[in-house]
Amino acid sequence: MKEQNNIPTGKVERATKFVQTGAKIGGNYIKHYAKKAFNPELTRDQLHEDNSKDVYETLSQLKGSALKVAQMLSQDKNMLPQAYVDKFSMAQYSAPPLSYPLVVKTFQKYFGKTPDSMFDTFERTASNAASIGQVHKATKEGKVLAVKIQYPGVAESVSSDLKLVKPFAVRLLNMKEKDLDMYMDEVESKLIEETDYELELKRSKEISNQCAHIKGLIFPDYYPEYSSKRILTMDWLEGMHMKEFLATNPSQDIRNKIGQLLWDFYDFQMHQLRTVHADPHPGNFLLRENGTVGVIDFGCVKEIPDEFYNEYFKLLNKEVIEDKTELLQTFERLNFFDAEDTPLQREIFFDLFCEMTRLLGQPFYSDTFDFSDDSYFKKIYEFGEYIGQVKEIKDARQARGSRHGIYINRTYFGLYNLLNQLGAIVRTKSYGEVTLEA
Amino acid sequence: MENYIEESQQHTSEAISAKELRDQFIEYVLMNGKLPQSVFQFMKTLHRKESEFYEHYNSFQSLEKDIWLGIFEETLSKVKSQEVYESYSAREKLLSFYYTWIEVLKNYRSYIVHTSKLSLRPENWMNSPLKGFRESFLDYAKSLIHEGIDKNEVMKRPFLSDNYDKLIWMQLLFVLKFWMEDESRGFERTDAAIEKAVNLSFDLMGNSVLDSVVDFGKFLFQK
Repeated sequence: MKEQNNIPTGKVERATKFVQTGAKIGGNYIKHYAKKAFNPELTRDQLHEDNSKDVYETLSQLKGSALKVAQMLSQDKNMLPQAYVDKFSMAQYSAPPLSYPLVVKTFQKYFGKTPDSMFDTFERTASNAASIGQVHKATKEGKVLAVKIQYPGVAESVSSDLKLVKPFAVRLLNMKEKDLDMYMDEVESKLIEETDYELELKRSKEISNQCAHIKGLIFPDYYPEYSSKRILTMDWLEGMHMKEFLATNPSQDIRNKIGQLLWDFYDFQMHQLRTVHADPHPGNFLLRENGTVGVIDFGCVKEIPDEFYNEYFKLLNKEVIEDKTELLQTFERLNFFDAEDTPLQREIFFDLFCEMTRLLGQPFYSDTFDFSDDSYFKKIYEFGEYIGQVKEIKDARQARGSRHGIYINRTYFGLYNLLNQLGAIVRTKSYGEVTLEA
Repeated sequence: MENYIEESQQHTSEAISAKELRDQFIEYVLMNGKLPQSVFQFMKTLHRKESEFYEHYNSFQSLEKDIWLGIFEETLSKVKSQEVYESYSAREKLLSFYYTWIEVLKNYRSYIVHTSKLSLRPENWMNSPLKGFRESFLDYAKSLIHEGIDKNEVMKRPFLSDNYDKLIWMQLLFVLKFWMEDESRGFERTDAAIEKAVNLSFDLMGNSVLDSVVDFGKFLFQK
């Protein structure tokens, strides 16, 4: 792995980076329209590809929270054209590593000891990079451990990074700046939580204990004695990332088995724990050939408030969907409407939300669902693109929907994506149905 | 305060060591917010004779130089006592040096921040308390550069490579200044600054795009 050369730290440097990208993207558009003038058949794909490459290059140099934002954007497939998604998923795996002396320094700061004296062996080069840290392999008393170390100063720069991402996101997401604030607040608080490894350790233990009964899920043990605010030590889990795994040509049976495990894992958290591992990106799951799944990284956990839960999951109930008054009230309570909406706007949005709810809820309306069905996903993207073009939405760019929905939607999109990549057929009968009828 | 006097009185029979003098000097500066007016006055507060001071130093300036040199030597011995140090590349050695140096400096932070305005002004460099430290550090930096050249980490370039040590000294002043102004918790931003500064400098000193550009230019020109 190439050691990192330069990550811009200063606010100014970072700002410059974003400005450069902004300019480049502007340039790409000019290029696109210039080309298009001569060749009307040119699609927007090339443009997206150009933009995405520049965005990725910028974000990968910024590490830390900007990278995290890249990850988030890359998951919301329906928000971004395909090219963005492909580039951004690279961001999920690789970022340049920290020097070993800094690793030693971090250890000395939190334990007063060097990694060599704490573990029997400790690999000096990181085996992989997490977005805000890196993982080293170590052994102690015959156990193989994964030691995650956080980049210094990440926690400090989260807020200032997000302020920088904002204008950028405004353009990218086509949303009014004021309304992005709600979204940004939620994201910021989650990101700050993610930099606290002590909290992560506590949550990892809780959730993995509570989910231990789901057969086939493998959780690492965590070691508080080798962990601190910036260092997290857990068992080393074997397994492959999604792309690697798919390259081994797993049978449909195994795909379904893994898909079902992931589904059950999330369903149980959503409905029983009401606390959810809200970061279902492929890097957090280690897939094995025997159909078991290792789950790591509980940095991002969303607790679901009851009042949100009750309204949100009502939308998965077929009867509610059919009942216009009930549906209208539910949308109202989920803040889908704005006080300033005209009756016409309300009507347009109501129809849109109905369609969206039906579309996204589709897997829940039948007993099993085939996630390999690309036409379903295509419909979602097309709907996303369509929404982006509806004049009423363009004109009124208020944020709609509860802030809690951000991470819950993201979790479902992430899960759908994983299942789609897997091509799994999943029994989608939900733990939630019981509670809903009660 | 009474204890303090008693304690120092107990010591009057024994000769005062250079280290004690330095510690007392730092304490004086911090408690009084300024340098002592004279060696006489300073030694008086210690209930000692002025002549005892001159057994170790001939002025406050030479004493201050020794404080900085002492910090440097303490750092170097700490760094070299780490088993892993010898297996480090030159880049990692310098990183390790800075991280340890910053740790040692923490014990002197108030003193350094307080006297910094004097120490860091370029026009004061010649008499600056950092001078002795500078020479020793340049030697250390030179040894790292030679090592880097041997291991192909650092490129030998006409004129430039003879001055790499001085560039590293300027980098050290940058790190020092950054640290003094750093308000992040646990000086985490300084850690990041060190990482980036050292990586940048070694990337520039190493075989880089620059060399390829020069090489290509030469090639075209010769043709």
